[in-house]
Amino acid sequence: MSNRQLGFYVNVARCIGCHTCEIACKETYDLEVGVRWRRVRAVEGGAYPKPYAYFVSMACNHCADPICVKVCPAGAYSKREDGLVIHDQSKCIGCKYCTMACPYTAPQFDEAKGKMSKCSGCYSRVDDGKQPACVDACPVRALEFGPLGDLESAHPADLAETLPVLPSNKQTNPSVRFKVRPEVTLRADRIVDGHRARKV
Amino acid sequence: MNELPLILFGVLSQAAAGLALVLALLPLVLRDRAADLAGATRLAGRLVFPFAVLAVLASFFHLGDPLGGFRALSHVGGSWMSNEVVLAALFTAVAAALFCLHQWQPASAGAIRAATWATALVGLVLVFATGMIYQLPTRPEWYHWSNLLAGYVTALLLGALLMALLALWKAEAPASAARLLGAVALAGAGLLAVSLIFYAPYLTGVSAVTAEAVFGNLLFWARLAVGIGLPVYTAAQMARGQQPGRAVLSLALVVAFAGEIVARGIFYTSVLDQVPFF
Repeated sequence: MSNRQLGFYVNVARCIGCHTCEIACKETYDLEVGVRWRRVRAVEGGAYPKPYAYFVSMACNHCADPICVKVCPAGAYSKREDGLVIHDQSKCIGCKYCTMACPYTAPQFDEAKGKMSKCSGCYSRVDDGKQPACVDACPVRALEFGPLGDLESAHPADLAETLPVLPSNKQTNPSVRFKVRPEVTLRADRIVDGHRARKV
Repeated sequence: MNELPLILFGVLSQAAAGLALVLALLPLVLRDRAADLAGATRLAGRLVFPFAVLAVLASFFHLGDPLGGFRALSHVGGSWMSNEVVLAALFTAVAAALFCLHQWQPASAGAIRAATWATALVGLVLVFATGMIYQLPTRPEWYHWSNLLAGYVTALLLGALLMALLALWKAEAPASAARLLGAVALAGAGLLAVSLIFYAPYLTGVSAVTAEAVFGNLLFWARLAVGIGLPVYTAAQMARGQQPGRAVLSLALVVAFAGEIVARGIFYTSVLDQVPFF
C-alpha cells in the first residue's frame, strides 16, 4: 500500500482525554452500550519525582496488512482502494475470530446484533469530502486524518509509528502515527482502565 | 466464560478423533484376537459420531449468527477457521458412516476397518486445523508450535481412556489392548511434557503478564496434578498390562476431561483477558 493509504495522526502530547471523539463516533453510528469503535485510554508511568500520564485515542488502525481480512472465515472484511478496512455485517457470522486475531482487539462484538462491528474510517463521510466524525469533533485538534504520507510530511517532528504500551506494529503495519511526549518511553507504563491499572 | 462453546467443540472433537485413532490402532495389536474386544469396539465405533455431533452443536453456540454459520465456508483455503469448518463437517460425515457400519454391519470387517482409518485420519487433520486457528503472528503468546500439540494431547489422553473404560464396561480387557491404550495415553502426557518444556520459557520471554496468568493460576497446577496425574497413573498401570479398577478408570477419565476443559479455558483467558485496548 502506498503512502496514499488513509490513516490517523494522534497527537498524544495534545490530547486532554475529554472522550469527545468517542462520543462523536457513538452518536454518528448509534452504537450500542459497550461498543466503542474509538476509545480513549489513560496511560500512567514514571515514578516520583517524575511521574507522568497521557491519553491515547485509538480506533481501528486500518492496517496496511490487516489480519482481520486474512482470517475472517466469512469474508466479511475488505480493504478499499484508499486503504480503509471495511466490515460488512451482512456477511458476518459473529465468530469473534477477528477480535482474537487483531493485536488491538479493534473489532467488537455487538450483542444486540450478534455481529462484529468496528470503525469504518467514516468512509461515507470521507467519500463526501468530509473528515471522520471523531476528527471533526476533537476540541483540541489532537486527531487528524488523511493519506499517511501527507500526515508524515505535515508532522515531521516527534513522529512515532507506535507507542511503548501498544502491541508490536510489525505484523499488521497499522496506519496510524503518533506525536509522543519525550518521556513516553517505558514499556512498563500502565494503561488505566476505569479504576483498574493494568501493566502492559 | 465466553469461550465455553469453543472449548467444548475442541475437547469433544478431539476426544472423538482420539477414540477413532485407538479404534484404528487396536486391530494392529489384537491381530486375530479382535473378537476379544468386539463389544467395546462396536460401542466405541458408534460413539465417535455423537461426540462429533455434540462438538459441532456446541460450536454453533459460539456464533452471534448461528443461522448464518454456513457463510464460514466463504474463505476456504485462506482462513483456518473456514478450513476447520469443512474438516469438522467431513469428520462428522465419516463418523456417521462408521456409526452406520457398526450399527447395522452391512459390510465386511475390511470395510469397517477402512472407515475407521478414514475417520481417524480426518479427525487428526481436524485437530491440526483447530490448532492452526491460533497460530497467529499477531498473538505472540499463542504463536508457538507447542500449542499445535495441545489438541493431540487431548485426543490421545481422552481417546485411550474412553476406549479403556468401554472395554472394562463390556468386561473385555485383553492385556495387549490395555498395553496399547496405556501407551497411547502416556504418549499424550509425554507430548504435554515436551510442550511445556519448550513453551514455558518462550511465553515468559514474550509476555510476562500472560506467563503469570498461566503459571500463577492454581487451576493450571491442579490440572497437571490431578487432570494429568491420575490419568498417567492409570495409563502406566495399563501399559504394564494390568487392569485398573473401574472406579479409578472412570475417575481418571472424568478428571482428564475436566482438566482439558480447564487447560483450554486458561489458554483463552490468559491472553484475551489481557489485551482489551478497545
